[in-house]
Amino acid sequence: MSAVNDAAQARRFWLRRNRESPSRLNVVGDVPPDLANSADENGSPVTVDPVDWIICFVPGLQRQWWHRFVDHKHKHVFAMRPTNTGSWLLVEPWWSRMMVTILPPADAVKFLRWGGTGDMLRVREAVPGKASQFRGWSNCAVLTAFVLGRSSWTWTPHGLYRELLREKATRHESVAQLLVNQFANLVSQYWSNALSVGADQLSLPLRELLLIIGRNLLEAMMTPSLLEVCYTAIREADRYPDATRVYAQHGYKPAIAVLTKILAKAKQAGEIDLADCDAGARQFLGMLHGNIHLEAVLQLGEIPTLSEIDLRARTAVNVFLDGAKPPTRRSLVQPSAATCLVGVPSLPEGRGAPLPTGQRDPAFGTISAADQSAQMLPSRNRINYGMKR
Amino acid sequence: MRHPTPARPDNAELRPDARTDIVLAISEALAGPSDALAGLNSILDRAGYSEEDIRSTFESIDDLVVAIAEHKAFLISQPLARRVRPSTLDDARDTLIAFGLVAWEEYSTTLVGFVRMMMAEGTRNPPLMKRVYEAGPAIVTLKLREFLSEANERGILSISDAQLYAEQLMGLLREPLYQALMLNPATSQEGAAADRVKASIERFVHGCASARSATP
Repeated sequence: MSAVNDAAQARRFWLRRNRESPSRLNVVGDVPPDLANSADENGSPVTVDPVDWIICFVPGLQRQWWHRFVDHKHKHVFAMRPTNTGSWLLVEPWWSRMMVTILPPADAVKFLRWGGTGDMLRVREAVPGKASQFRGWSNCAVLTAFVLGRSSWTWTPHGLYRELLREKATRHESVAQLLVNQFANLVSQYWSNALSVGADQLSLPLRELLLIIGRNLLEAMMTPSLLEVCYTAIREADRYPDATRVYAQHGYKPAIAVLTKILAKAKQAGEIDLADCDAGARQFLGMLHGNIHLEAVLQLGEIPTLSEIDLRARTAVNVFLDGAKPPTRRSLVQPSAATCLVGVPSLPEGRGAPLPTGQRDPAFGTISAADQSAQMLPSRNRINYGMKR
Repeated sequence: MRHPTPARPDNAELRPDARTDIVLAISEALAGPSDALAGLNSILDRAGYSEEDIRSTFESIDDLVVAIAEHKAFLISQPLARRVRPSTLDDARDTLIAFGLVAWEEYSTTLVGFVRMMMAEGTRNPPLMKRVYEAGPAIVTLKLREFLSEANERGILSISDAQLYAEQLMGLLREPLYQALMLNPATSQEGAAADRVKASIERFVHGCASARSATP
């Protein structure tokens, strides 16, 4: 159901399809033989594990003549599920069509809020399912039962609600908890990736280490998915404060903590002169934000290119570190901010080199196999600075 | 039509500074408790004005919102306008600290409500969001950029890209805004605000000044 589950499911499917080597020769008509022979036991060219849906039983948004004939709270039903990019898949039966669409988080919240006015159930779909196309009269209850693969004979949303509620695995959901879970998964995924660096990079000079992390952070926070979630988190702060806090707790706070650790270590080594490393970390993050983050959240600016991100991160690192030089060093000749722009090797992807599992840096922690496997492929072999996912 | 608050003169539409009165009253209302849900209407309500009041003074509600953005930009950039041409490093530092204190104060109070309101209105009216941004944050950044360019040309600071540096300094000063938007309700930092701003500006100025001292 969650973004993490989606990724895990994708991985399972990938492994499984490599193990299977269909040798059936059951070709039909003009269908390419490779497609026909790769069909699974249900006749599908791909095998997808069953997933959870959020089934929303809701009162009508606008009064309609037939409302008097159905349950006061369950007059309509639709299905939703979050994707691993912060958006939601919506399946809503209309009188005149089946609405199947991807909603950005801010729009999805409108449907979730509607769901919250009635009842929301988490239900796992059945694959291949036991529903039948012979049911007839495809109203919202019938079509939703069909999406779930249920052999239901009810004609009303409330009837379906009662049927699903009788299943042991069915759980009630709340909008706030759904948002909290989705924000936590998504924000943790992006920010923990951004805060992970290879063990070899930990031995880099402070300026280069900060540049790598700064670039990764800026790249992560300018990801369209995260920008949309950030926008939603701010917009819904009054209504769902826990979800908004989760955004900060899983994003900004760990970033501040990691930067504070790095700065404290540098301070201990006499590399920088900072009275308050936590405040320094906030200043650095603020400089990374610049104007572009607010512009992007307000949907005003363009998403910066990787080279723009690199330039912004370099400038922030140089101004910040030049401003935090110990008094004795300030008097020494140092490269100018402009000079520094070419002083640090460019890392277009901002990614570290492979790191042996278990290699440890005393200041920051250890790479665990679990940490590595939990992260997406491009982020493997990085140290995670003690962030909880 | 809602009755205005007692502080507002009844013949506001007849006075030449009626626009200023309305802008100030709404700015004050924005500093109140957060109310991201209702958007502009609730802010107007809180300030004691109706839509008719606004339309009699401004051409449209959008113009009022843009006027508030202009007012805030003017307020924040005042310290920069008073000292357009810094003569020494101390001069530049003092000006930037004065600027930073005003910006920090606004980003801690009225601009939190303003940004929330804009996010609520922006979905219904995207062009308004752009107008407001151009009249507010973009103008402040422009003034700051001009100040930094001047400091660079006078050999006080080393600013290789004034626009970029100005944006980063603005980002640094928006910390309370992010705090308030993300950690609702905002964590109070009032007591330490001045120290935080000074420390932030000191770091920025040191960063630019030390680069200057190293330039051959």
